[in-house]
Amino acid sequence: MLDRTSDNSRWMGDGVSQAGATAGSRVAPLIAGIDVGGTFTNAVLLEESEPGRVSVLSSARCPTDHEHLLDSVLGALDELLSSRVPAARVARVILSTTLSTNAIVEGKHDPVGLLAMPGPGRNWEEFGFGQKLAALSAAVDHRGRELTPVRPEEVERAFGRLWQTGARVFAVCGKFSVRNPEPERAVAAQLARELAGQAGEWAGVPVTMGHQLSGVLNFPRRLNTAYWNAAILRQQRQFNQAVRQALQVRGIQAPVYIVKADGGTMSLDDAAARPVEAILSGPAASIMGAQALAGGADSPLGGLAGAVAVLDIGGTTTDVGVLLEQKPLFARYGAEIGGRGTVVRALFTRSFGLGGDSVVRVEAAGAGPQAGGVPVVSSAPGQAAAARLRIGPERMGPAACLGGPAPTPTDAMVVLGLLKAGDPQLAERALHPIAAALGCTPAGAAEEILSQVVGGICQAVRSTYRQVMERPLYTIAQVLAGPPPPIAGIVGIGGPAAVLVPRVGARMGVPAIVPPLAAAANALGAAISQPTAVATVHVDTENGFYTVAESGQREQLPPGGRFTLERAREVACQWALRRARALEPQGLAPPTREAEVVEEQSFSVVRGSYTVGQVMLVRAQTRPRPYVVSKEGLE
Amino acid sequence: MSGPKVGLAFFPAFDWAISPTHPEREERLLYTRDQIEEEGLWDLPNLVRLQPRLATDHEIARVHICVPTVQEEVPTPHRVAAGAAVVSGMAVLEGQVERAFVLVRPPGHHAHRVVRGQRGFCLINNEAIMIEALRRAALARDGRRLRVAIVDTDAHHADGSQDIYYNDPDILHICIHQDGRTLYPGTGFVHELGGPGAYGLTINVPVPPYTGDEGLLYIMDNLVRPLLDDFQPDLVVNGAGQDNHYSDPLTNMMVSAQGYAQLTEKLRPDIVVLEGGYSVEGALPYVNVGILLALAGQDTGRVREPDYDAGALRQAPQVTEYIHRLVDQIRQIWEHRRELAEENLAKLGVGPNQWLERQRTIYYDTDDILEEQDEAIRICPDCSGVRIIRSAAQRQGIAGPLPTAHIVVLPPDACPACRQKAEERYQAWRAKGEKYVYLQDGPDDVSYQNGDSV
Repeated sequence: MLDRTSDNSRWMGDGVSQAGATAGSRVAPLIAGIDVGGTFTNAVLLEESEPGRVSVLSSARCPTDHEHLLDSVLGALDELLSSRVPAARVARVILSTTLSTNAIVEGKHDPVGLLAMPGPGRNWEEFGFGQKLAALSAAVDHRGRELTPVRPEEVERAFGRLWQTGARVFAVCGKFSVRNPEPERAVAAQLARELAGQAGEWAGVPVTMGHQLSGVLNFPRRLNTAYWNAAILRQQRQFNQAVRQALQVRGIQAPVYIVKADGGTMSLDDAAARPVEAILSGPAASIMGAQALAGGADSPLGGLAGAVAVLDIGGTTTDVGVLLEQKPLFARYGAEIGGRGTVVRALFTRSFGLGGDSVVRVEAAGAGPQAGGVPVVSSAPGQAAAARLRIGPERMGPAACLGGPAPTPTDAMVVLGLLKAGDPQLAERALHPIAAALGCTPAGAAEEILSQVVGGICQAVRSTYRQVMERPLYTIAQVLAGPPPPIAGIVGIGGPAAVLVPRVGARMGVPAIVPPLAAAANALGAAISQPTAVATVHVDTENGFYTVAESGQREQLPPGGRFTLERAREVACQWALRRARALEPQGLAPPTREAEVVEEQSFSVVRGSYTVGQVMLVRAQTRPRPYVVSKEGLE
Repeated sequence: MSGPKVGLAFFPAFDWAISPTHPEREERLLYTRDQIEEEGLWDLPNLVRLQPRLATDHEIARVHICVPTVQEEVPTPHRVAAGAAVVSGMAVLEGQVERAFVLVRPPGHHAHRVVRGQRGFCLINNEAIMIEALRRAALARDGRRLRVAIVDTDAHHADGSQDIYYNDPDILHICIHQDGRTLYPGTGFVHELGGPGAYGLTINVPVPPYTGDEGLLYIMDNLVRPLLDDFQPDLVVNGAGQDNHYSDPLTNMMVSAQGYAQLTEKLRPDIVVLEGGYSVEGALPYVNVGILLALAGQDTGRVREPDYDAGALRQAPQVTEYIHRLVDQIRQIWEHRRELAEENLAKLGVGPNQWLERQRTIYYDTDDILEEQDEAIRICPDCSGVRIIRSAAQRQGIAGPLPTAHIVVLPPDACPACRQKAEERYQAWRAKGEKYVYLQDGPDDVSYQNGDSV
């Protein structure tokens, strides 16, 4: 279902002729995209020369300061804006940061108290929250009907106990709360009152409610997500405030957005309520950037038709994602972080411990060759087949050619003359022990290392693809649809991609490209990200209501007439668009946006021999029109 | 939260129903899907998703004589359910998983060897198609004759599975169900003990209405486990109907989700195949989660229906007493099954190399078809014996008679003498110009329908 008309009319209402719009006929707005990565912070400045078309004005790179992430952001931004660009022209700033990811992974977050309404089913004591979780007896069933009401005195006791054990921020999550959010609301309201009674900095921190985080059914993951969200909420709010102040100082009025794990963006206000959605935004930004850089009809990958693997090869890891018919594929339930699965909607990526700086070791005989934690088959038979190399999964420092402690794939590339970096003599010296073990020259050892890295990446691509294409087959039509298509191409970004990705393509027998600006693809991906929204509408005609899980709305069905699946689709798409539009940036061309149904089911509810109603579930998501990135000047 | 690796083949057939308001409709596993998803069971590290595929003509024809042909009689939904069972069974046999749960519809345990239509919501027998595929695979791989125990815990008598394995010495079929005097299909009494080639390996446990958790678990402990320990099967298959549940609309039992979970913990089945169960909201979500958690070695203590009331579900003392007597009686039969087999033949006045005959009427309730079967089994000292079946059928009402089928079933363990008899009879019918002639050649693993191999 399209919503093109209204969007276009709003854009054209600015008095700019769409067809003739160029940088000359108006002041083209600028977009700054900044990706704070594990090693480097990348930034790009884009100019939107006409709606939906951008070109790269400048890019910047600086090392990431993990203790002071904001300094990294501002450093990159200042470098972008240093040359001749008035800050007032910046219409949008988009950040992808490791803030929330690091807080969780490093355990530097607030102490959380979790109030769960687990109802009957799995034993929640096994979910690993220990004293941090208090279970309430309130429960609803799979159709959202109340089984046991919320008991205020029980909530009060639970809050008291959790506070005593040190919890200072709170989350509430119930089983099937996406079907009926009322109990969560009641508990959260009471918790807010309890917190207001406590003095100090904790009083104003909002209580996280599970149903706000996702419309997907998965109670343990929703618990985890609510827990992480509460844990990092206060830090995100502090970060937001600091960003706002810093931009004001620089005269930038533009709204700031945060990249989410699904490759979309959210406003700072949204990030203050749902910071957990920003976890793992780095890999998402990379995929979005790679897609934009490799797309287009003139691409060697034929406009990215079919299944295309996206490889982000860094110093420590290779992240693998998948595009299917130009659309990135999503993780089935959500991102995983800190050893817990979440319902955070996320582009599907898998990370392998295999990068340019991975340690290369000679293994004792008997062990199979491994790369990035996956066994590989060596391409070179005979002598090399006896090689027991182990590459990764860890990085001990920079490559030997740059003064690092151990031989790495980067050193192999330097020895073979494929890459200019550091001191080639250091690289060759580092490969000597490996050459001795293999009984060959350093160049031979370098070839074998590269071959095994390539083999490891091929394995990683295949296993990732198998995993992402594993989908439930719940209807006859799905069973008859047959197996997924084979991988049709590869896009590589990141430092070592230029050397490795063509070889991976050759090994797998598919075209492979490394687009220009590949090193800053993540920042570009951040810059072109746009607000996205999902709406999960659950209709129950027997009980006469529908719920929009993400916003917690519970609406009466209109009286009279049958509420059909067609109507449910419309409602879901409208809600998705409405939610996305609320996030829309001001002053920029509203991206042509459509909502599409991504999942739908409809069932008759039968009592005795009579149909008494319908249960329908429709999930719609907005799909922004992708930006076209002008290739001019990129090389 | 570790436990045995469990494969789950979940095929709710969200696009298939017998008819819009039939109990076997799209909605049946919807709430089960919701509960499984909301409980996050797919995230269990030891749970593996098994993907269904279509069962082939060959896999179906190995078990069933479909009249007129497999191709015409078996539509896609039933093939997916049976195929899911085969995939799951193979995953267990090959060690990919330790246990499997085939959570699929449509069900299959009322489908007999001869298929003239649908009965008891079933068309083809998912469990039998799976077991036969596994037996063939084991035989081909290491020449092993697989011994399988089927423990059917659906509230209805598994008359189809009983028919298929009535005379099979490698299969023990134990069926626990609400007494046939009070429920469809009206069979499954203690005296139905199997054919001359496998007497005593068909065990029926008809329990009285209002049997609860206590009765069912007593039978597990005091009858099923001892018989399994004695029979020593390679695989235990649980035909898991969920209609013993107190909320089931079609039966009169009082079993709870806790009862099912504990049953599964006691039985320790290798493969669980869903059969019936039509309390789609009040029972299935909880029972299925209970079975799945039990299979996966997880705590089932908190699995409970919202309206569970232990007091109301307490089994009456006279039911308990009846079940104790029933279990004693069946254990006596099991102990003496070999003597009883001889006594039975003597009573019927037939001996080695003679034919044991029976006449049966089989009603296909779902399709309203009445079948008349004449069957003869050869009492063979060297194998379980060739079977000859004549099947006449008519659709009730205006449609009139259906073709009469002539069938020879040569079991996998057939001896040369039985093979000769089988071929003689088959050729004689062919020579006579009979149009609907069928041969299941067990030893060669090939079936013929009207001259064509399947």
